[in-house]
Amino acid sequence: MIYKCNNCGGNVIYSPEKKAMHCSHCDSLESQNPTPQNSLEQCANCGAPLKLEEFTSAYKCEHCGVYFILDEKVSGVYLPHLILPFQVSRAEAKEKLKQEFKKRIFTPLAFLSEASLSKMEGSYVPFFLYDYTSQVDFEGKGSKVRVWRTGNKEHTETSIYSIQRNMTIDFDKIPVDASIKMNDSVMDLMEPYQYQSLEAFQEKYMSGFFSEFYNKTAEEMKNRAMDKAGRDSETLLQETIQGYSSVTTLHKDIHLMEDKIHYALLPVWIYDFRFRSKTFQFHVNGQTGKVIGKSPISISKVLLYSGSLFVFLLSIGFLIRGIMEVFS
Amino acid sequence: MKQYIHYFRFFLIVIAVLLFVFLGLRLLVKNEEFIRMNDQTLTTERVFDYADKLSDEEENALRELIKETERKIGCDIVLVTENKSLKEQADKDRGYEAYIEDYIMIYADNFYDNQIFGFDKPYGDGAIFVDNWFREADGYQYYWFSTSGKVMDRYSNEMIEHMNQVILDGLSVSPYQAYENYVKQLGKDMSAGALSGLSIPSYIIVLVALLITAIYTAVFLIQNNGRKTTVATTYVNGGKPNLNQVQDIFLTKHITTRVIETSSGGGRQGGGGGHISSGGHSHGGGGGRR
Repeated sequence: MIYKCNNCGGNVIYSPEKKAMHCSHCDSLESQNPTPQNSLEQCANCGAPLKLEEFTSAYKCEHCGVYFILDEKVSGVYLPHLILPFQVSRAEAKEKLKQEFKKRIFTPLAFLSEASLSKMEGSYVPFFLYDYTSQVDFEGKGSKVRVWRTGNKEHTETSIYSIQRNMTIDFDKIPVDASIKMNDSVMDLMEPYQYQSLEAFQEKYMSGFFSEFYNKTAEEMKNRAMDKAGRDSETLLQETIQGYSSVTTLHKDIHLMEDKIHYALLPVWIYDFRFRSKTFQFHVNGQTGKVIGKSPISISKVLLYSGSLFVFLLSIGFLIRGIMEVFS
Repeated sequence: MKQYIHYFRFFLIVIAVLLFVFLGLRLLVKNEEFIRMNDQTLTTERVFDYADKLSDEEENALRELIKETERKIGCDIVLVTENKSLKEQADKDRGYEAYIEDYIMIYADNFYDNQIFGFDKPYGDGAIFVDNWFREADGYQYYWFSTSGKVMDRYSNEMIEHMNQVILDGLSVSPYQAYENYVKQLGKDMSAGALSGLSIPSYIIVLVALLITAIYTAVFLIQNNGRKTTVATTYVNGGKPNLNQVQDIFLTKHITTRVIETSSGGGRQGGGGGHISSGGHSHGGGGGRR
């Protein structure tokens, strides 16, 4: 699909600021006229040949600059159930990055001014969202120790308890990215997305952005979701067993039941910076604005700030000691 | 520079405030010195260099140091060097042939008592170090560090041993160095900070600062990628699990008892080497031979 403006014929794209379809040529709102893009080889707007990657579902024609969505990659088996439209605009994402760099004290000052943007694109990343019901059953023995003194004797009282726990955890939409290109750990750090903004899939939200369809099936990606659910179940179980000095497990069972799997597109801004002949990639959550990415580290700043902290802490320590000594 | 000052503004302010308080207190408290209450002492001398191991300049320097230290800690500080056998005096004191190891202790106690030393009262707070360069019948040179009053209360066996070690260390340089070490170590051990037990050892401050710095640096380097902002309940419907069964049933308990062994001499116990001199006054202390 290519969204063309009814008024001027320009490319209508989804604007996160206006929360509406917007033609940047004539400033019209919701003036879109969908034109199908069925061919995988040719741009339906200018006829230029397309060089698409294997999993591409939305792209920008390198020749005429029009954003198009490959209809057959977002329909049928590829039809997403849900989409979370971009809420952070291009300008806001850039501002978030700037703030983040300021917070990163070890990043060279020059990075902000010298780094050049070599790539900046909004992309919908394919995710599978898994619903699980986790049934947790635990049986164990816990001991509490109390120590007290009378005269020159020390008494140690050890009490043994039987611990039984049974809980049901209702996991809702545990996200796992279904894109090979996207680094798993980076995608995990992008979380969480606020799911209340999820909408039933509408193709128009993709206009103006890049996208992929799922690279692997939900079945193939399942293990990562189950790992996450299992880990969280374990943590939640441990949180209910408190106040013991030691616990031995007699029986533990965490059983996950799969309820529903949603195929969703979630928004990410991808920025590539060139700085002193190296590329630094940053991801900005297209909904929350959370920034993930490694920035360069200036050794001299690390030394300066760590060294200063050390000297300051020493000064404070010795001054406090000095004051204490004067007081006594 | 702007970023640096802004970043460390909290530390800079805290240091400035602490420095202000510290210097202010020092100015206020500086004049607070101990005043000597004992007017029965037979001498104002503190350095008795009978063995002539010190030059006149060195003696004067020690006198100055002792005078200053005495005011700070409120103790008499006496130094004696000898170069003669102490046997005769010891035998007389005991009324029988004294052990050769005891000669120097008897001499030190008597010297202190005879001159009626003591900062707060006669035979009161103070310390004396006697260094005999004469080789007694067994071929050894003896030395003794004797304590009285609050110095005795303060000094445990370990501290006495340490004091002697500090003096011996100085002796390998020069006699003057050894005696200076004695006065300085006494000043340190009897200082208000050391006495109140509030004094934090320097290495602890350095270690803590180093640890915090290491954590700070590590955290910033690790978080250079971004922070994890999900928790175990992020994807749990309702924000918490449904607890179907939570039971903690008390089964049994047992009690074990053990006797605590009290350690002796250690810590801040003090009073090491206590005994009564022939004059009937309590002294502590310890010494050795070389």
